[in-house]
Parts: sequence; structure tokens; C-alpha cells
Amino acid sequence: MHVSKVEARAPDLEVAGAVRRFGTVEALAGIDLAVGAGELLTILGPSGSGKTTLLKVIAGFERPDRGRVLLKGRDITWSSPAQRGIGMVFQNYALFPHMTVAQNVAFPLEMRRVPRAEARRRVDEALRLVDLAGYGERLPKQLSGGQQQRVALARAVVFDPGLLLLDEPFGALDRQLREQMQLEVKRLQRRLGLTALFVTHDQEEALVLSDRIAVMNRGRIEQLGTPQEIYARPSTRFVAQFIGESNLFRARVRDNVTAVLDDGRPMPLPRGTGFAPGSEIAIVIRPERPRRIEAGEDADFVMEGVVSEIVYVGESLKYRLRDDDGLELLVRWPFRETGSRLGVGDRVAIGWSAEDAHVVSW
Amino acid sequence: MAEAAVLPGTAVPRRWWSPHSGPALLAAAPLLFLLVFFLYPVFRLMLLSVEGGTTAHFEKALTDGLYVAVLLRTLEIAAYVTVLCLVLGYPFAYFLATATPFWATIGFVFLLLPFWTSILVRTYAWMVILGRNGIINRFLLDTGLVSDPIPMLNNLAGVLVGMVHVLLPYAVFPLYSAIRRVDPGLLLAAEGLGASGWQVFRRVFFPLTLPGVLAGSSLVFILSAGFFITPALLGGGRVIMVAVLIEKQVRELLNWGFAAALSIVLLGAVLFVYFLLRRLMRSELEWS
Amino acid sequence: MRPGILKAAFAVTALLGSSLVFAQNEPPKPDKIVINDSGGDMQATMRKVFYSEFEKRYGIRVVNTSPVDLGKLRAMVQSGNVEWTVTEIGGEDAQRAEESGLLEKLDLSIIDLSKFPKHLQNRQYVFPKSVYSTVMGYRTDVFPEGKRPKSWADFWDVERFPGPRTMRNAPYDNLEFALLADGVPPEKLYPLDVDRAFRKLDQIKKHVTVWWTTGAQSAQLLVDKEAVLGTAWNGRYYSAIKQGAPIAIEWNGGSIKESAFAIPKGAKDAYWGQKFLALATDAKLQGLYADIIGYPGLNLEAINYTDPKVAPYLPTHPDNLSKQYWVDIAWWNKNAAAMNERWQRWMLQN
Repeated sequence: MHVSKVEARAPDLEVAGAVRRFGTVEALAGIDLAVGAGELLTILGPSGSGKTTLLKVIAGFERPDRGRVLLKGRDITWSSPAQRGIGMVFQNYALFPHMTVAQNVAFPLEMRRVPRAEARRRVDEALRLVDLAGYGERLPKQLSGGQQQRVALARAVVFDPGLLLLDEPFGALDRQLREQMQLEVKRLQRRLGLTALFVTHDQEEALVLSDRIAVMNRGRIEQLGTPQEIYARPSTRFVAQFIGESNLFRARVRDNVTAVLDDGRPMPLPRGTGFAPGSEIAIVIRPERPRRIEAGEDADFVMEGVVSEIVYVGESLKYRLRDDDGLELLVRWPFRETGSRLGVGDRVAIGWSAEDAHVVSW
Repeated sequence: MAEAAVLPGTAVPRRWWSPHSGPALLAAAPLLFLLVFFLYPVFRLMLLSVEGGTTAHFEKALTDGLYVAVLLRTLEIAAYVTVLCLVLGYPFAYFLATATPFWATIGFVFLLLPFWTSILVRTYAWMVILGRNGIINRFLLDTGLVSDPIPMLNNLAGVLVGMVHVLLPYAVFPLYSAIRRVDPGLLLAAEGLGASGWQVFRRVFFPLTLPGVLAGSSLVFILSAGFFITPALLGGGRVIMVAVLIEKQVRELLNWGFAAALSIVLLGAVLFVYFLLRRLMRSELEWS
Repeated sequence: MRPGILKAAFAVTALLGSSLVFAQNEPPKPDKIVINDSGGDMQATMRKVFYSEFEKRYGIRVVNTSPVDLGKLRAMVQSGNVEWTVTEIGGEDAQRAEESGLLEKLDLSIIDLSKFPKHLQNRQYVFPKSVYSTVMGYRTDVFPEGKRPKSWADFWDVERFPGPRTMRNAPYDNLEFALLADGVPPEKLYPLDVDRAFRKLDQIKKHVTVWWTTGAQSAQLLVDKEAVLGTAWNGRYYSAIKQGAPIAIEWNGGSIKESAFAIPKGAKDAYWGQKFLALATDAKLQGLYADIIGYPGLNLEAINYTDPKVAPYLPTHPDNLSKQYWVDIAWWNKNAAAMNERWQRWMLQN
């Protein structure tokens, strides 16, 4: 596990050695996590990875068997959810259907006995912040999904929480709205200087939103780092596969610069991987790295194959290539570079330099 | 185009049944049932109450101190029963909604037990428990806590016990279904936003079950306003409800006109209270 | 064919023929008739004594229903959908039913009333089935020999006879009891001095813990000691006493009246209803019935078929009969509505 030890600012939220078992299943197998002030950190993982349990432990709906949770230096491990002062945005928004929008947003203020006039002022401000000024008297059911989401957001931030927790908040929105809301959340979080913890299973969403990402798997954090770090230098095979698309080649290290694929073919390694000869490794090639090799050109690694499949993904095209030995490779090139010049069945040579590859242990 | 314009007098013959009339037919059956077995009898009752073109029956029902007092007393008792059923039924419904299937089944059996017992057996059972020589009074007397038996039967208390016993399921079932419908996520949300346990209940859980409260209380209120045998048996004769007087007019005195007038006054009073209740709760229920 | 057999065959044919002639005079036998009674012990005894005998004698099944309900009778007659062949009618209701035209005329050529008391022999509509009495009953463990209440005045005397009372939740009988308690001689009861009766009832009101509604309740309240002194129909006390309850009956001031049966107007198979009532006049059956339930029939010969041990529990026993008064059904019929209303009004007062 490669945990980034460098923190830009003093941590607002700290989870230390958190363990939570359900029977024989370890939902949290020792979690250490620090979220800096004003940072937006995403917990990313597939379902069953323990991210929801971690969220519940932080929110107070679940107690850890071992370990501690600290919020702004205060130990809140045993505090009730209400005592923690965390703003939460839930899956499906969890708006109170029997309250108007304004009443929903005022709810946390009311619970904190904020004087009425003050509360009204802050509710108006929060609604303006999410572009819903004038919607205060409506009932949640009279709003669209996106609007409901923004009410939930306003409700979560209206009382200046020490931490904002977002639990898969965009799951119910359609794609376009989701992207719009992601940007809006990020804008709001920046503007209010909120420390935020975001839980999702959607890696694309995580990459767009986060300052840093903690990738969880089987109750552990596999990697913690910036989106760029995680994408470019996944620290485990799981991260490499879970984040973005990648080509993974199983190989054995021969020397500092070469590894041998299962079929005996040598493949160049980037410098300084630090794997001893004989180590079993995975060579990770992101699909946008390989280039097309025209006649007369050369590269560290070259393969020649036939296009077996083409998928259009907006700006770019994805090609699946297969060489004569059955080796498969996925590449993605911007549309304007290759355009319609390649078709299924075409023969093409591609290659990449040793530095385009990333190596993790198998 | 021209074909679509049907000339007057040449109406296209329509079959009485078409594949599209299915839903309408489905609705027709219960409507017809209501019409034949409810609306028509009520209509007949109205005719009966003004038999001979006189409103004398209504005048008597609405001005005679006896009938006015009994009517008010009936509504009062119905209100007590309703409140008691809600207060007892709410926690019970909550228990049923959250218990394991095993305990929930046991709870339902106990809840429905009164439906499987005859009124006389039930009355007798309450006598064994609450009577002058009943279990409770025996215990209190033997332990010296009281020197004279506490009258728990043959008065208003007995009537309330008996009526609540029978009507509790009518409160519990709507409450149960309302409680089951509450999204547990909303409770977590409220807690996460700073609400204490009591505040979660008062501001979120309870308001969300209000439709069940309204349905349950309406059912109990309407049913208890028409109660007749239980008050007669457990009230020791002292607790008089309108239905008792109506029964006397119908079965003993054969004055059906007056009985009809009394029934309609009772129906009107109950409907009035029901709509008042609905109106009072309207703003609370707008969301549902 | 031998002559003996021929003779026998002839005889059989003749017999068949004569019964055929007889059968032509009566309507066809239905599969069943419906008799409505007040249910409970009463129905069980009716079945044991009269219904089973009727079934045996005529091969017609008797289906019984309950309870007795004047309102239902009127509804049946008015709607022309009479489901009862014969129905019991409460003592107070009989005259009203007759006057409201709800009853079929009795066929006295079928029903033989010659063994009945003279004043009953010309009955037009209401068959005098048996006699019952509303009487005082008390717990013998609470009021042992020598300390027993002997009159309605005693019933009213809460100093000498303390303890909770129970009475019927209706004006019937109670007004008379109050007047008797207040010193009105039995023969001067009617027309009732209603104001005086209610004034007297005021005195006892708070000592009556239960105003009973059903017959089953009345005796059970004494059995359970919910009350120590009460009123009930004599048969209710009789069956409790038979089962060993420490209860005694005081016949003094008992309110005696007849329990009637009648055929609803427009009843199907009314002829077989008449046949049933004819069977109900049978002295032997009436004696048996009284033995079981304590309600004697009005056939004067029935007493010959009654167990002498049971006789003291019957309202018609000479010792008992002299202490009781006959209810004036006519007075009650005229005043029932007003008395019921006044009763309820009185109940509402505290």
C-alpha cells in the first residue's frame, strides 16, 4: 500500500486505525486517513469495498471496533451523529417530504437553536448559493431531481459544518445533469472553503471532482493520491484496473530495463521500477499512450496487428487490436488524428516508448 | 377527413363494450356495490326519516335534551376511544413494523384475537380481570393497597377498555403501513443534521406517519360512534350512546322514522367531525 | 296368491287410501320450517323437547334462528320476505306486534287451548307458550337464613341489606318494583304512578352497579359476586342454582307475564306453524320443558308431568303465584315509548 504521507495543510479530519468487523467480514481492516482543511477527498471503491462503512463511521451511524475519528483535533469516535456537526448529502437526497424547501434547509439550524431571523437569513443565502432563491415555499416533490439535489446541498452547508459528507449524491441523476452538478458542488465547496469527503463508486466522477482520491478495496485504502497520480501511477494492479482503462500485461522482470511476457516476448521497462529480476509484474499501458508507427518509424516496443473492433466515444475512437500471436491491446486516439482512416480488419503497427509504461506487482 | 365528421342523426353505433372499457367496468363493480348496498339504503333511511312529510323527527332529535346530550356524549366517547387507540396503537404498530417476523406474527395474533372471540366471551373475560372480584381488585385488596374494590367496569372506564380492545386493530393497521413506508434514510438524515432522538421522532418520523394517524383515527372514530353492544354490556347501563337509542327505537318501539332521523343526525355529526379533522390536518398532509 | 296375503294387501291399500284422503286436506310437507327463539339455553331446551318431537312426528326439519327481534319481524313482514315460520315474541312486545298487524291468526281448530286457563282460550294471534317472571335473587352466602331480603322494600333497604345491586336496564318491571317498595299494594299498581316510581328509583340508583342488558348477564353478575342482590328472569336464576351457585329466589313481588309465540303474517308454510303451536300445547312436553329450564307452560295439566322437586322453582307453583303480580301488557304497550325515553333521561342524570 502506498499512502501519500505529504499533507499540504493541517488535517481537518483524521481517521486512525479504524477497524470494523461484521461477523467474520472485515468491512474496515485498519483505515488511516487524513483530510486537509478545504480539501475535497474522494473515497472511491466498488461496492463491498468498505467505503460506506467508513462513511458511517465518520458520520457516527456506526462505531469502529478499534481506532479513532478526529474532527478538527476533537475525538468524535463516540459522539452521536448530531453532536458531530457534519453536513451530509445523501443518496436520493433524503429531503423531508413533509417540509417545504425552506423548512428543509432550516432544519439543521432549528436543531441548533439558531434564532429565527438569523435562520431565515441563512436559509435565503444558502438557497441563493444553489440558485434556488424563490423556491423556499415549494415542497420537494414539486422540484426536479437536480433541484432537489441542490436543496440537499444547501441543507448540508447552511450551518457551516466542519465537514461535508457526500454519499453517492449523483447516483439518481442523468448523465448531463450529473456532470453539471459535479461542477456545481466543486464550485460551492471551493467558495465556502469546506472540507469535504465524497463517496462514490464512479471513478470518472472521482477524477473530475477530487483534490485527492482514496481508492478502497476489501476494507483497505489501496492508494491515496491526486487524480493524476492515481491515474498515471496506480500503485496496485487493482487500482490500475479500477481507475480508467488500461492494458495489463503479465510479465517477469529479466533485468533493469526488460521484462518477459508470458509468451516469451520481451517488453521494455521504464527506468527505476525497483523490481528485482524474477519478480512477477504487471505492465500497465494506458490506451492513449501507444502511437501509430508509420513505415520507417521505430519505438521501444512495436506490435503489429489487425483492428478487431472500433468504438466511438465522442472526441476519440477506441480500437481493439490483436496481433498474430493473439496479444490484445486497447488504444484510444483523438478522432481528428486517425479519423475514419482505420477500419475493422485493417492492419496496423503501433508502438510505445518504455516510459509510457507503468509497472506494478502482479 | 370527411368520414370523421359524423352527421347529426347518423351517430356511429357504439358497442356497449369495447376493449377500452375494461377499466371502467372494473370500477363499475364496486360502484354498483356501493350504490346498491350503501347509497340506496341511506337514501331510503332519509325518506323514512321524513315519513309523512314531517320534520318532527328531526326537530325532536335535534332539540330534545336527551338526544342532544346522548349525541354529544357519543362523540365524546368516540373521541376518547380514538385518542386511546392512537396512543396505544402507535407504539404497538411501531413494534410490529420493526420486530422480527416471529415477534411480529405473535403481535398480529394478539391484535386480532378480539375478532375471533364473541362479545360475550370478551365481556366476561374483562369481568374476570377488571371486576369487583376480578384479578386486579383481588390483588389490590389482598395486598391491602385498597380497602374497597376499584370500580373499573360498569362505568365509562369499562366501556373505554372494551371499545379500545375491539377497535385497536383499526388504528394499528393504518399506522403500521404508514410506519413501514417511512424511509429510514430520512431518519438518518435528520440525525446527521443535528436532531436528537426525540426531535427525529417529533419533526420527521411522526409527521411522516400522519396519513396513517388520520386514517386510523377516522376509522376508529367512525366505528366507535356507532358502537352499541359493548357500551351496553361493559358500561353497566350507565353509558348511553346514540346507537343504543336507535336500536331501541328500531327493535322495541318500532318507531323507524325517528330511528332514521337519529341515524342521519349521527351520520351527519360523524361526517362533520371527520371533515373537520381532515381540514385541520390538510396542511400537514399536503405532501402525501 | 294365498287368501291371507290378499286380505292383508287389501287392508294396506285401504289404509293408504284413507291416509291419502287425509293428506289431501293438508298442504304439502315442506322440507323444513324455521322457528326463531331467544337462543342460548332456551333454544337448547326447545330443541330437546319440542323441535325434536315435531321432527319425529311430521318428518319436517326444524331450523332454529335467534334472537327474538320485533324490528326484524316488522322488516320481514313489510318486505314480504318472511323467513320465520314461527317466532317467539317478548312479553312486552306481543300486543304491539298484534296491533301492528305483524301476525297471522291462530287456527284454534288446530291449536287446542281447552286445557289452558279460561282467559287465554280465546287468543286470536298470540300463542301463550309459557310463563316467566322477573324476580329478586340474592347470594345466600351474603344473606344467610334469617337475614334474607323478603320484599322490594328490603331490596331498597341498603342499610339492612348492603352490597351492590343489579337491575335490568329498562323501565319494564323496575317501575312496578319501585312502587311496591314504596308501599303500593300489588292490586293498585296500574295505572303506574310514574313520577312516584322514578322518585323511588332515585334512591336505589347509586347502589345499582350494573344495569343489565342481556339475560345471560343478569344471573352471571350474581354468580361472579359483581352484585349480591339483583333481578332476573326466573329461569336464569334457576339454571344458576341448578349448577350449584349460592343463589336464592324471592318470589314476593315477582313480575309474572307470558312468553309468547306467534306466526308472522305471510309466513310460508303457516299451516305447519299452526301444527307446531298445536304440539306446543302438549301437557307432557310442557312438563318436561319446565323441568329443564324452569319456565312452565300454560296447559293446566302440565303440572302433573312436572318433577315435584322442580315445582317450587316455577312461577306458577301455587305458593309462588300468589306472591306475584301479573304485568299489565296493555298499559305498557300504551306507554312503552314514553317510559323508555324517560328511563334513558333518568339514566343520564347523575
